[in-house]
Amino acid sequence: MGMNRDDVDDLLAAWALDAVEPADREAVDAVLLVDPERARVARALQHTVAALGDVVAESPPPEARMNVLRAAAARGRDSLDPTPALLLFERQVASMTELLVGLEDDEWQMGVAPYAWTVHGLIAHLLAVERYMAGLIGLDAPAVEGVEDHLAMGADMIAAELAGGVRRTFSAWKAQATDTIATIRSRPEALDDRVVFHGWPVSVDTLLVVRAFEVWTHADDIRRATARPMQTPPPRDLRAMSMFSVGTLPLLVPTELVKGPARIVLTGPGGGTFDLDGPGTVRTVTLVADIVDYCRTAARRIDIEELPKIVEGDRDQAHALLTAARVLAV
Amino acid sequence: MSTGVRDWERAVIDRIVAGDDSALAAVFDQYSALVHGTAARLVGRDAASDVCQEVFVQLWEHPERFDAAKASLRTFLAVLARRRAIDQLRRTGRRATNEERSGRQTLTSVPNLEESAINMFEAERVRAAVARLPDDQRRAIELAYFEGLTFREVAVATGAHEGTAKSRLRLGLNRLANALGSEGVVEWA
Repeated sequence: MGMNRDDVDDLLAAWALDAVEPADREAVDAVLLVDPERARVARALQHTVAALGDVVAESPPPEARMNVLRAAAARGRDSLDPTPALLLFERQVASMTELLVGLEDDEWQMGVAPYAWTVHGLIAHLLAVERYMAGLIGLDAPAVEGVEDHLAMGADMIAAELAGGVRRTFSAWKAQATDTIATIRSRPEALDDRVVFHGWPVSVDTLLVVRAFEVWTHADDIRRATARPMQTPPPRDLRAMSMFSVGTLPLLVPTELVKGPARIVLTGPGGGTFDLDGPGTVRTVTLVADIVDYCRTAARRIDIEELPKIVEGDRDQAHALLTAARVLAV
Repeated sequence: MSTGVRDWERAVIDRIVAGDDSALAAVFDQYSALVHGTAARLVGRDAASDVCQEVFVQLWEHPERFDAAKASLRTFLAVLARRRAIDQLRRTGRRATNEERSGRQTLTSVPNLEESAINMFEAERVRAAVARLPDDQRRAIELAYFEGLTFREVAVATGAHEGTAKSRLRLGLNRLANALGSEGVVEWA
């Protein structure tokens, strides 16, 4: 049976004290869901009842803490599955395409920090990278010179693109990326193939994550340059990119800076907790940061010093971890 | 509640959501006495340990159920502990023994030495506010709070009409809320 508001007012204190029968509790709960003013009063009464707890506070037995942590560990967590690499790359290509389609002609000529390129030049650079990648997975794409240096590669090709129209460059980039996606989709086993990207031996699967990270970063570079709002990828995409980034850290942090095991906690949708091995068993540092901020730091779009973070423990080791996270920024 | 505590609570919940069990340990260190004590008054110390574990494991499994816009983490955990304990009490009928309540059967008796200095300070203000309540209102609240009685059971225990018991709880708790609100112990969120 429903309750009118006078009934609720009458019962609210008893409700806050849990001095009501379950049916009354449910009836009050139902009213509070749709009555913000009464809900505010109800919260204050609950705060009051909680404050009574100060009077009765009593530490649990010493073993309780360990029991809680063991029980929590046993329950585990429903961890978010990362977006598969090919889908991740495809989504970032789609997002970039949508962005480029919406640009005005003059916006293609705007400068894009931190580069000396215009938007047109940046997409020509991406075209060079797409062609390099296509060659690595066995596609018949124009050769790109100077692939040992990510930013300098394909300089002649970029110059030729800049001499042409922006639509031609955009179409060529889109076609090359689409070809790569279609090829890998038709031959999924290619994801396990090993290639050497700028001297780094990686699987095609990993390369797609690196490239998705790059396309997202450049799309945000263009959004920033053209005064558009930055975009945060969906949680599963962020998880895929952050898992890749954190996963590379043990290989990239100078061993002399690893004082002990480290923990990286990335908060926000898609976040997670990552434990990195180190000498000894006592964790020497915990680094906590928002997952999007961490990714942008890894992409060198946020300075390490500017990253909002909590560091518990060895600050030098935390700095070394963040420095290492930026090594693979492309 | 201070901004510092509020910020700490939000940050620690973000970490729990991210799966950081050291954040759960930090919350346990901060609020386990509140949770355990709240439950122990109702169901006794042994059963309170189980309630305490359930409360913190639930926080670990479902941190999204905590809404910082609606309550402090402290209140959220206290409410959860109390509801769990009362559900158990009403299900099993087993209450804390007098010994388990260790001579602290009223809301105005002396604090436990294990409480932190800040909690002791706040507890003292709560005790003082409770002590200023009219006897019939204080008794009704104590029966509901310590014994886990419903307002109907409070009525039977005090020989009053149900409506009177309800009114005493309402007047007493509102008076407490206003008193503690003016001292900053309770927020009218």
